[in-house]
Amino acid sequence: MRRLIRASLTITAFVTILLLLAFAGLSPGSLLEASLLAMTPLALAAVGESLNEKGGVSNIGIDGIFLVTATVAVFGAEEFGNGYAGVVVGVITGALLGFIHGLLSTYARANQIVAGIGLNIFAYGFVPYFLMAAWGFPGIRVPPKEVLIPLRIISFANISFRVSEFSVLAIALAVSLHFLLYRTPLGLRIRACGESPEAVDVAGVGVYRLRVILSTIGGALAGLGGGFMSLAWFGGVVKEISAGRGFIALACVVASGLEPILSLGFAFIFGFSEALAYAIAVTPGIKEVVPYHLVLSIPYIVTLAIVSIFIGKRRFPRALGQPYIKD
Amino acid sequence: MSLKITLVYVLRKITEASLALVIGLAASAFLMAIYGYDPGKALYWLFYGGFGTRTVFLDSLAYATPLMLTGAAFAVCASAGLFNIGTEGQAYMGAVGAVIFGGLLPRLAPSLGFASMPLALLGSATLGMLWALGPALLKVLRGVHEVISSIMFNWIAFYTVMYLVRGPITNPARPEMSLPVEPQARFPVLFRGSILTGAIYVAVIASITAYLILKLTKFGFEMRIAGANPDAARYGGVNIPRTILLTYLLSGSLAGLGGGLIVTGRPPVWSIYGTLGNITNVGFDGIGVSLIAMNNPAAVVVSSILIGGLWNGSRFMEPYAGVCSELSRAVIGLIVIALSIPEALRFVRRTFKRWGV
Repeated sequence: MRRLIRASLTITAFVTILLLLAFAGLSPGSLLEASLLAMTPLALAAVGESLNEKGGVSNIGIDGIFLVTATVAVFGAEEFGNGYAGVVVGVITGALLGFIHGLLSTYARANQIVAGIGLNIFAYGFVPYFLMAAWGFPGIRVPPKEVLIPLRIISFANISFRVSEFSVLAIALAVSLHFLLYRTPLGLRIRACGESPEAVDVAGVGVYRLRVILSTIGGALAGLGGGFMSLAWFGGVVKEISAGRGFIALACVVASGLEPILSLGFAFIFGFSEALAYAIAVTPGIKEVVPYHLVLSIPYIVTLAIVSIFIGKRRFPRALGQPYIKD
Repeated sequence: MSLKITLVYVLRKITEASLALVIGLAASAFLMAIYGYDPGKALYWLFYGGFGTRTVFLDSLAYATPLMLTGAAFAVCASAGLFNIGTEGQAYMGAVGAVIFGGLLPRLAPSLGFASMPLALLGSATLGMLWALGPALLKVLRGVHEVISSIMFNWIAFYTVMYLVRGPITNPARPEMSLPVEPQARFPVLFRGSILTGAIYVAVIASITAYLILKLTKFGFEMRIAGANPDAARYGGVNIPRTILLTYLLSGSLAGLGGGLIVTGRPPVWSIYGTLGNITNVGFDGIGVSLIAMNNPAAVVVSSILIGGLWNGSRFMEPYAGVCSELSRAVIGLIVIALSIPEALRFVRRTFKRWGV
């Protein structure tokens, strides 16, 4: 009951904000549209990351996975002549990177934060190199329109609303992973793997194997977000395409205390703040007053504020980020 | 420690770092081979362009100068068990500090012109320190992990500096860059024909000082023990929040100084580009510098020359071997990944033992 009240209060507050913005000259419909798009990569990566963090592997290399997969997804889409095939290439690449990170953090007992930093730095260098190697043009690639994934147009009454199927997929994934984690024996094993790997090991489940699988899934979902970003959202790739979104996705995860559905909610809030920043930056009447570059930093300020408000109440798995060493 | 043990220890560390370097280079050679480049040629130009002649080596030292400081900044935090990924943003703010206190202020108050160099150094260290205060306070007061908060601060710094460089501190004569620092604030070129300036002395002195603070002072001891074993530190009466805060401030001022030295110590620009092109990545690559030096602020002096050489050499790799210069950053990333695996090093040691070496 209290949850319901809290949820309805949040929604009321949000609608009020939208109405206020509408008075300021920003269209609530297009804001909502843009927020859902900006939410999607954050939500996909955050849901995946909350899964592997529940199992004890933290991957701060999501930003790098976003960058690499957004780029190779465009390459795949052009090779196969189909946007969805490109997204599949992104997912496979993301899974591969997650798999490598999983191997490093289990069998190789790597320091997970250092490995994640390495993955990010690698991506910052690999992406411009790849753009140059594949297309011979520095820093940017805009593929032909035929290989992009168009948004679906939903219209009822006289309102039409553009939405991507990946946004729906992100919401469905968040809900189903919540049930997987809390209502199934496998979910119990995953959570135990992060809380007390010794117990899981004694019960006959391979801790390393499970963690590698979870990390692979987390990487694949981040790869899905990367492919979505370049092929369905921006319609191309630039070498800074992720713009720190991987870390915003991490912020969703820690602010929600590794709950998939809650992290979806935070992803929406961050997506909304991003949509709002861009709307402010282009709306006549407002854009003349506020400096463009300062407006662009709004999503990061919102992220900081929200994480510092919510993190105090959260509890994290005991073995999170620790390599498990069998005796 | 006796001299022999110290020597063996240093030798082992060097072997470990070289192993990571070899792994990183081998992986990047593989990447080049996949895309049809000639890895041998590219690596030759990468190293020849970084270390091959006296002039390029001096230029590599110039590129190493700010990296030394961002590396030392990361190393200081790492000794206390903290990850300061925010060195990037702190360096941006440091560069702005150098422009404001070494360019704008002497211009407004010409009587201060004689002091513009110390003002620029102090200003850059202070602004970097203030920018580190944010993640430090969030960590101490709210328990927000510093990796997430400092990346947010990096992006806020990026856009703030971009706003400043294109707005309030822009150069009216050349709007594509910020105001330059005053001639008195510029470090003199040490050798004719190279871009190496006296800024490198500041970087070396600051890194060694950081090392001495870490090894010789009570504060340094508290930092190291808080990093090695927080429970023992708390039991021993170390004020952990205070230690975290001070560590972060020291680290931020080093990174800020590094950003400032790009502006005051590297000809011919003496200002910040509107794209921030000359100050980006100095923080991220400083992480690689620190990790190669096993997070030792004194060893950073050496490892920064290696990464500075990669930066400088990559400018030759592009025209002569056709490989995009940013591949050098991928090499640094691969080296960092290799360094994250203690098991790889142990594996090598065990293999050596099995062979009876």
